[in-house]
Amino acid sequence: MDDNNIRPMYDSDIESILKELELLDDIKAGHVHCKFCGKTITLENLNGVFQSGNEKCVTCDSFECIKKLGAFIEESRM
Amino acid sequence: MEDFINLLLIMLAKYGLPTLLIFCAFVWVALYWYRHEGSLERFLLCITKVLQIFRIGYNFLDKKRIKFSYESALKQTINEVSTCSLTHLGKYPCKLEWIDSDEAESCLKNGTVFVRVKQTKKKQDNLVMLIYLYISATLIPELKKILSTCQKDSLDFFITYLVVLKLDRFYFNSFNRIFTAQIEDNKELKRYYEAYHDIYVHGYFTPIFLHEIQRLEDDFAIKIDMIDIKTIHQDIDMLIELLQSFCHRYTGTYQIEPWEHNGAYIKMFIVIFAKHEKLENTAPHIAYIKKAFDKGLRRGYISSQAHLKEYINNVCNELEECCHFDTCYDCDALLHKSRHVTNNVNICVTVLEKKRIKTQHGEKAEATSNI
Repeated sequence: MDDNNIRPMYDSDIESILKELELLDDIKAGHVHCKFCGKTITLENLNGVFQSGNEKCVTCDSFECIKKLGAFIEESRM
Repeated sequence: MEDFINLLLIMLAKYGLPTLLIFCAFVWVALYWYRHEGSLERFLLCITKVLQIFRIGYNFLDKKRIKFSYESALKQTINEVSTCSLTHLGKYPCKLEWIDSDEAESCLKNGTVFVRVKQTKKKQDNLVMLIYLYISATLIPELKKILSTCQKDSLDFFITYLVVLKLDRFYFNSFNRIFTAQIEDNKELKRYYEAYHDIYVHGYFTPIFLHEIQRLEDDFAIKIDMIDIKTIHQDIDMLIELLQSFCHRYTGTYQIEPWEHNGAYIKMFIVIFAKHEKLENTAPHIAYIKKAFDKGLRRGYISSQAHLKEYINNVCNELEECCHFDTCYDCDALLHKSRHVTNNVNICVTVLEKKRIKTQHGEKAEATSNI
């Protein structure tokens, strides 16, 4: 595994990154939900973005979801 | 070496002493950075902090500051917990590379996660969470599949704590704010966390516990599905119990009970070579170690004072037939002289690994000594 799997996004770049990923409008409209807990994602509680299969997924900033995100990275390494 | 000395002499003749001194200082700094992982990042972090005071390029410097904090703390910890023979953490890059909007689409592939670092008052919280995410994703990934939730979580929390210790107190406060509630809410998890902490303050967490756990991952990674989950949970619990009683032993008292754990998956023992052993008779210790390996124990840990290292090497040579030297950890140990008197001592823990012989069929068999 040579790639760096955890890539941080700086807060001031977040909107442009989400726009590039075509997620910004959906998040602003409240159409995006956390992959793990189902909570509606806003620009305030957004914590991570990742790809699962062909789907772009988003997680919230709750501790439980961050834990699940760690497990997700671990599994995708296998 | 000869070329290097010639180069120095030429420089001395050509440019004079000051240039030579600058050159030597440069070489010394470069060597120091090379040998002490994370120190370069720490140095850059200090420069960034100074520049940030003057508000020059704030966002750019803030990104650099976060990057250097993260990388220096992680590299230092990895350096501490992984020896050359154990690179479970070290094999994953701990570089923090910010994602830009123009590369976002191309970088978002399976297995890559973009994590937000908020520019709020709780900036430290984000970095602590990022470190936690890295640890939980990279530490003993195979073994974690079969550990109990509490064993797994407590280990991730504790290694995160070790990394955060390398950062300033604001991060430590953040760690407490985020993790204390998680730890306090779960009695079982708290028990494990406190046990790791107890073993850590006594100096044996990295040299024995973490070494054993990482070797467990090495030994069973390919046959992880065949492991009996309940038994391995018990094995780890018993290892923790053994280490805690070992840490709280009173020095100078004769220990009848051997410090060993002969479980289904963890098979290890600890031998203490105290000061007085240097003087005379090592034969009983050597006989004990040989016997322990004969019994089927896989790893032996010799705990001795740091200045006895040379002497331990000789002992290892005498044990060549049944085991080989794996690695040696230097650490500070807290020893209990009596109930109220403790002593901080520099110790080294030498790890001996039972010899394995490749058979004709390519299988690994464990060697036995002649005793």
